Amino acid sequence: MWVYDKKLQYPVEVRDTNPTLAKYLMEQYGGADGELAAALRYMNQRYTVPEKVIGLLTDISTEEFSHLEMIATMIYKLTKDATPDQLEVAGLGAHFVSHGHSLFYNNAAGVPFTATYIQAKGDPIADLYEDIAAEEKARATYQWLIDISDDPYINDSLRFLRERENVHSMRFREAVEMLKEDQIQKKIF
Amino acid sequence: MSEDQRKMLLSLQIADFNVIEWVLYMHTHPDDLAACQKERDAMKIAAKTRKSYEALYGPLTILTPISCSKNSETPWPWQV
Repeated sequence: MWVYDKKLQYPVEVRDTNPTLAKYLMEQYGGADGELAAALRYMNQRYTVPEKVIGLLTDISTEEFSHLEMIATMIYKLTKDATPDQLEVAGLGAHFVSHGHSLFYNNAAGVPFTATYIQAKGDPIADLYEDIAAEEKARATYQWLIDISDDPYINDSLRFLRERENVHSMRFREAVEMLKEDQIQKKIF
Repeated sequence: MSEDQRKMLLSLQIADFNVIEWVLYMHTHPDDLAACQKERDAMKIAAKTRKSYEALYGPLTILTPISCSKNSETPWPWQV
């Protein structure tokens, strides 16, 4: 079970309306390497990995949901006061027609989220390598977002999220090494 | 949200983040006893910080005992 905590993991400060930046941030909301994909990927893989990495997948998945909430907060605040005209200029005209001011699990190009973005192979090494790749892709996406954004407040939160991808990648790499050591000792799971 | 509340929320966010970071680290370094002690310290500080924040500004989770005469005034994260 989960208990909701009524606060963000790291503060998100938004001063201006900026639907263009919000559109780009949707890549981390409903994109292939975004926070939703990450959270769902780890939460589903954890049932069929060795006992010693279940806790890691559970806790990182849970943290990804808190990152999803940070991204949602940015998108919501950047668009809540935007007029239909401003949304249209930012390329969110079609989004407005379909969803109004609501958020939706789309990527930056407006493509809806699909479960085909994630995998579970029943093989812990294959799964953990996918997880490492996912963290590195998400880190790269955060870097491109920071490069394209000129909002210092948003960039501060994005830098925090980029660093978390690094930490998660490191923990997953250590988990792979732990499993490899067990493999050498011919432990049977 | 007042400046005082924002400051205290930030110290809670920092304290909780410390716990998250130590917990992840301990998953792959279970024999690091010095780190385990730091994890325990971080948990104590987080619990203390949470208690003082909630006493002033209301509950953050449904597990926090509430007052029946007072409505929760903690804002949702996207309203902060």
